[in-house]
Amino acid sequence: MKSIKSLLCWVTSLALYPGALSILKLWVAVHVIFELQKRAMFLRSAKGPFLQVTSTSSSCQQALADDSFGSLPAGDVGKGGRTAGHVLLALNDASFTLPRHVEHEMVKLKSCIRWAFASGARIISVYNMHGWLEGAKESLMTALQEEDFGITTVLIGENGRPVGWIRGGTFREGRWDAKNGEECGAIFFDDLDSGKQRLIQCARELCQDVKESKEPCQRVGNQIDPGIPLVTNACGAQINADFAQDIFESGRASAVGCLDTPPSATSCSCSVRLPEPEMAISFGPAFILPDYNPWQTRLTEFFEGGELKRVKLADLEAILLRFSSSEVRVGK
Amino acid sequence: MKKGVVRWSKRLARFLVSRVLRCGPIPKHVAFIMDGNRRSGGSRRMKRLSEGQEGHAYGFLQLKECLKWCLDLGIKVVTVYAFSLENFKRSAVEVETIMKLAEEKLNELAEERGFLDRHGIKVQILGDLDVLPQHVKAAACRAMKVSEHHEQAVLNICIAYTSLANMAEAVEDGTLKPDDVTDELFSESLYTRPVSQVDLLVRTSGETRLSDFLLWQSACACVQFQPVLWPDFSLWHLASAILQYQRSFSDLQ
Repeated sequence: MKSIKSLLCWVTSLALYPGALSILKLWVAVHVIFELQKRAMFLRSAKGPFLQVTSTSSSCQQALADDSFGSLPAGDVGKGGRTAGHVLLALNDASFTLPRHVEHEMVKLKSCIRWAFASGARIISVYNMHGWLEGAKESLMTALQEEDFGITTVLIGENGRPVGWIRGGTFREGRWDAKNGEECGAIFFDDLDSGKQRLIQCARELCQDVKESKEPCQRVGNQIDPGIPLVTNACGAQINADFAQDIFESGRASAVGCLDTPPSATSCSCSVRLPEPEMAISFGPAFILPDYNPWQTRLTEFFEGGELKRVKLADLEAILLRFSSSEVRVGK
Repeated sequence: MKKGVVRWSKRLARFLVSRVLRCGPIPKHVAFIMDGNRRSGGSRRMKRLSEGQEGHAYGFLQLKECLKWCLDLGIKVVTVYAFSLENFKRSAVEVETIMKLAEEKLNELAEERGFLDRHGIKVQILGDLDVLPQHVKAAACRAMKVSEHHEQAVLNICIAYTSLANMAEAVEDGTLKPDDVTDELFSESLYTRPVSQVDLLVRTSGETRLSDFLLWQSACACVQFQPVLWPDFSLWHLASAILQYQRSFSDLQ
């Protein structure tokens, strides 16, 4: 097959090279289509226990038939096989030139978040590396508050300050209490405009601490553990640390992060321990690595989601299938 | 004669493919995660002299071929992930085999200078060289020394490297003024200076993660996860990766 292709290329190019740019472009287009088809076949060929569960799920079949994925009952998908605890949804679409364009895609975004919860994710971050989510924050919060993702979620602003609830709860004496001891989730907001900037900010605070002869709580050193904050700012962090302990380390929480940049272990002013995203889905016409916190993406599995407005349940299921069948060897 | 015709045809096809691809934007810095050497060694049913040796040896030959294709296409900087700090967790026999192979191939690069001189390739070995055996360190230094004056292209070979360790090292020196710490300074503090930003990252064997490779440098890079194993990586796979980069070029800007 390869030799036939190379021969065809050779013959075509040799015969028509002097004035056949259009023919060559056609060859290029054919090749690209061929590669894209190969990729689609590869996505669909991954097998795993997850496939058996979804094939009998009537709601999934209905969603596929409707070519939309409205409400998926939580826990209906993703059982069996490896599932991601933290899913990152990266919006890289260049058509998102203004915050209102992000708002237009809210329906699909909410569906993706709902799907991610249903697949077993505990934490979901929505990330736009151009910083446009910030302009759409208010409307996004309003839209998310109208949703029911099946769990109680709390909205947290800068530096861990709570700003609201989805589905009930109270903030009293520095502690969040869900109604009747239900599970809690969290939505985080932040104002830095790229994952790299967060690391730079951390480095600056480290230098500041050294300049002021302060001993930071934890210094960057040879003991690299992405789960531990690089530098913890003791000022005002007590409530955050308690909240982080309750929400993330209890193992009972699910969270939705809706951010320009996500909170991370490298944030010096927010000591919330956010685990590394295990799965990242990049939405946009091109498959680009998001400028997410580089400290936390060493083992993240990246998948191409295509354009957000055209994403389908089948695409997301194929991604989950591939993820569940992948093996992490960590160097071995 | 038949072999000669086939060889000539392949060279012509390679020439034509590179001319077609050069019609569009070419990435300046391409990074490869050369995954799948051991699996390829097994699938080729070679006589196993030691664990994974054939696969890694084929992987190195493939690297040389791939470098030639990149030079034909006009790619200036190629960074490859040869050995991670995490790979020291493998069996002692395999690690020793890989170290011996690394020493052998680095010495080969240093001694057969024709290839490096002809294309003006500067070889840089990136990583924590202190953890390498002395003989490998010496071979690495020799390879870097013979090519230090070359300026046309750069081959970065990451051995005993993880991106987290590199970033931590860059941040660790807290003697700077806080305002001096910028994006550019951070990039300059990494091993891959001065050309840090990766334009296209290719990983073979179908895995879809970065495995602690160039995490800072590959933000906003076009990525291609190829299902083929590294020793089977061909010009067509590289061409499809470059085509994908060219299709994504406007979004990357």
